[in-house]
Amino acid sequence: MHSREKYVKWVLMAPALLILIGTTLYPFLYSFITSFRFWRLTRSPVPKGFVGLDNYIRAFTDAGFWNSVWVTIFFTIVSVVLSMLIGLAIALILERATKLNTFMKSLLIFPFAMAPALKGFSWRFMLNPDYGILDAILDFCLPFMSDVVWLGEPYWAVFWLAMTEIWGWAPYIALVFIGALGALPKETQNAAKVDGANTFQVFWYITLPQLMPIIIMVGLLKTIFSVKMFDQVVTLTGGGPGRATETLNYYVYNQGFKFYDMGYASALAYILVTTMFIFAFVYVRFLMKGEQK
Amino acid sequence: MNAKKLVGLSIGVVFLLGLLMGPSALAADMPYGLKAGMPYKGTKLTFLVHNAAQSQAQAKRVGEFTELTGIEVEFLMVPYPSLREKITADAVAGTGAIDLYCFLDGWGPSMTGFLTPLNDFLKRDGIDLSEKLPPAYIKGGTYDGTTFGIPTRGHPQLLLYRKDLFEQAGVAVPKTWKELIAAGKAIKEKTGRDGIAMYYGKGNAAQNLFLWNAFLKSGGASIFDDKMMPAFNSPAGIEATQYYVDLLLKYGVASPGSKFFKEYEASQAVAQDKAAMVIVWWWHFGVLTNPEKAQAVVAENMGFAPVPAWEGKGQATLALSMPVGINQASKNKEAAWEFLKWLTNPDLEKANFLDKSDPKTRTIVVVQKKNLVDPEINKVSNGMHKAAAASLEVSDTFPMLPEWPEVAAAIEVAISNIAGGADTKTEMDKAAKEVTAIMKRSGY
Amino acid sequence: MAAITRDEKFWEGMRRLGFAATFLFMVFPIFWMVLTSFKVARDAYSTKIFFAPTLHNFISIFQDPYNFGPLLLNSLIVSFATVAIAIPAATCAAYAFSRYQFQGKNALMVAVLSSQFVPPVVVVLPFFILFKNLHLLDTRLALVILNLSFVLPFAVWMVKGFIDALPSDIEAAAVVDGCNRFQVLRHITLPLIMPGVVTSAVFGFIQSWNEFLFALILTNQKAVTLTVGLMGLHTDKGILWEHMAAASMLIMVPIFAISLTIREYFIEGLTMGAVK
Repeated sequence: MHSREKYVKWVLMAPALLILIGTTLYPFLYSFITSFRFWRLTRSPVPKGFVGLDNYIRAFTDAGFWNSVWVTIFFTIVSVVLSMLIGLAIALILERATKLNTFMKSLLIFPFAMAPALKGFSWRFMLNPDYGILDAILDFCLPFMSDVVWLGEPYWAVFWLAMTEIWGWAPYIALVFIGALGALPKETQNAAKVDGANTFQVFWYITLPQLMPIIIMVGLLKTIFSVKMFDQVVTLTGGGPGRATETLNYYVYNQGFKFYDMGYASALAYILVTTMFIFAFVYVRFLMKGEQK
Repeated sequence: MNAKKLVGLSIGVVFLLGLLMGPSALAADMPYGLKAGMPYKGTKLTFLVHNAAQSQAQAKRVGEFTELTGIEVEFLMVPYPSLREKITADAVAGTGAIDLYCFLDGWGPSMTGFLTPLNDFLKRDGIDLSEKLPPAYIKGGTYDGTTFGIPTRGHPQLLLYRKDLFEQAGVAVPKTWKELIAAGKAIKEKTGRDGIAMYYGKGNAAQNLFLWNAFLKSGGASIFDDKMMPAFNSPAGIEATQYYVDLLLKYGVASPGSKFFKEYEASQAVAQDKAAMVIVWWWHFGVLTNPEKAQAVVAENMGFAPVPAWEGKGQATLALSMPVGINQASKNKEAAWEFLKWLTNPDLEKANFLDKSDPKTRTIVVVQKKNLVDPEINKVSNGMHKAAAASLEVSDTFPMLPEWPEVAAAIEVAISNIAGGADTKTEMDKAAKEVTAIMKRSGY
Repeated sequence: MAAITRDEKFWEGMRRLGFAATFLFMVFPIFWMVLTSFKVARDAYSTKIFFAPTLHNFISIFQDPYNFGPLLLNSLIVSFATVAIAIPAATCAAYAFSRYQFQGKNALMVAVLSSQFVPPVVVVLPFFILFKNLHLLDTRLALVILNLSFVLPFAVWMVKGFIDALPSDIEAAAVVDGCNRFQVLRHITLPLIMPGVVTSAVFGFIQSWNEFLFALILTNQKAVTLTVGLMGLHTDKGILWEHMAAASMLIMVPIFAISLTIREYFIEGLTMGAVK
């Protein structure tokens, strides 16, 4: 019995692992090998000779690459933090099971379901100073800012880019938190209230620590999706103004499909993969430790 | 001689005559230099093209080509922003599954590895492109003296303006940038509309270079020097660039949104009665005069004029075209060439242009010299095509280089920054440094 | 009797304010898109709220040259098939990851996720070559295989979270009763984590429903999906915004149906995930 038990976990994992290996091994190896080769499509439709680490070395002196690294970090921090804060706020607002709240909860999935490219298009359209409804509303509410061309200012452009991401993700994260909040044991909260703690203190000292495991988990998934975010850059800002919203994924895309340097694009991609792997590993190792059973 | 013999003889003579005349008669019947006798009958071609109204109109009439040659053609239409990715994937896989690609002129030189040189075909069939097409369109399908594509779609730039607003402001249609600025100021004062909608924004297609090019070239500067090193940061280049963004920054005659607009947003600013002028590809005229696409007052009052120039200096505009080329890996190159000949014939273009049965096809354009000055076409377009032909005479393409997409991206960033308030010289120098690196990496 | 304190009153007020803000924040962009989908092009690019509505946009996306009908079918088949394969496989793997300790588990779990760190643009050409060699270009099967590569990793992680949350003593009892691990998973664990599984399924469905780049490159005519069709409304003459709005309504329809039918499961399911 015991020896058989040993293999059960592998049998359980086998289908998923086999599907993953089957679907990803060839393309991932191919692109990894490409990262060590000279492959400029302007010269040849097929990969040419090996160039060692040249593609990687070039990355370290490429100002555009480093710019995209900082933009990605900045965007990821803003979008992850705000998505989670707003998601948590929505969850707290809709926590109680009233009819109105239930109705709102069923709406939460819609922004998340909208195609990312469409998010970019629609926000760009709404922010147009000539016929954008959102721009009109903002001009009305904040007359002192009516001269701001939202997508023409570097920091505002990053902000709105993050906004499209938050708009989709905060409601979904709220759904997850609503579930989590509902399952928390109420006894400690009530006891704290009896002891004279105010609403904020109950939340800060009792509820938040209890939510921590789920916050950590959602944080990791959201970080991955923020780093991956690509469609909205193309459709909302086109990477502009200047290079203010050129994220790493967008930069890699340009190097590959626009400038036709597949070798260099692959090298940039694997710099990202390595960094993310280390980040995720450390994250899982240290932050999720408490969760392991 | 009996009757039988006579009949036999006359049949023989007719047969002989038929043999003698047959091929030449047939050849004369075959239009557009197509090969007689359907030598590629049964061949199936695939043509990768973006889903423009023009391609839809061509697809509608492709039956005529099949009737003539027995070759069937399937139009594979993809979203325009994804056209280059589709071409790339197919070319890299090298299957030859797609026989013909439609591409943007600026991509051509970077795609020569995927395309079949057409010079031998042209020579064999005695086709002289310079008789058919304006020089800028020929250049758009050529790299280093070799023809890789022939366009069916091409655009010159025109100044589109609101006649009624100009009348109210009491100003004439500008011929120079100086006049344009003065007109813009008067219009803003008297009518409250922005003078001109510009597009300085960064996008994915370097659109903020379209008009920059007009300022630069008519100002006497150029993008590259003889050694293919950047020349756009010369004093003349910086002056031209400064003038270009000063429409917004110094003179304030451009829509505030110009800072991040792309081309179609600038055109929309006019369509929505927010701005009085826009300098764009000519097909926008079809949009701005369409009451379904533009506000009624706009649709009724649009006019067109040549692109303004610097005072005392020559006019210079940009032309953009979409050539069609044959895949290097195609297994049906001869049949594909037959199709290309048919696709680029002036009659098809004219028929498609004049057929207004489908409202979606309002933006169809013509590229052939013959059609640009055709009285029937000009009657329908109120002489816009003649004006366009004049614009095309002074038009040029962007530099035809494999590195152009990368170079354009560097300049695009600089212009976007300058329109956002950055110093012109600093930004242009920075872009020039990047471009130098790009060119050196490619061995110039 | 607990008196309502000033503190509680303040937070109740904040809650109401927040509710209104959330509603506006979330619903307004969608509301605006619904409005746009009934406008003609001229009005779509204006801030008009009152206009003569038209169904033209909805009709024309089903006609030449857009023909969204078959695209809708392709998207539905591909997304459902992806989820139908991914979720059972992910559930089994998640169970193993959650219930067993072994050397290198963390590394393996991160490795499962690591395929998601690669920018799609560098793998799309190899994928194209792979499917060309398998003669699977322009088939729904190719898209299903491809979608699995990104739906599966997240599904494993999400389902694992839900199993982690389930106290393992319930299972221990069943094991003592002589059930093997598979029976435990099938009859004890699965029913309890069902809401979580549904949550992950919806997540996976939305991800494959919205996938664009691969669907674009790998399909030509037969297997084209809705998202590719949607992007086709971004033409060389700019964005046909009124059509795009109508198409986005169409894209939302299945999501709406899903959210209605599984609402109970879904909201309850998210509740389960947090039991610690």
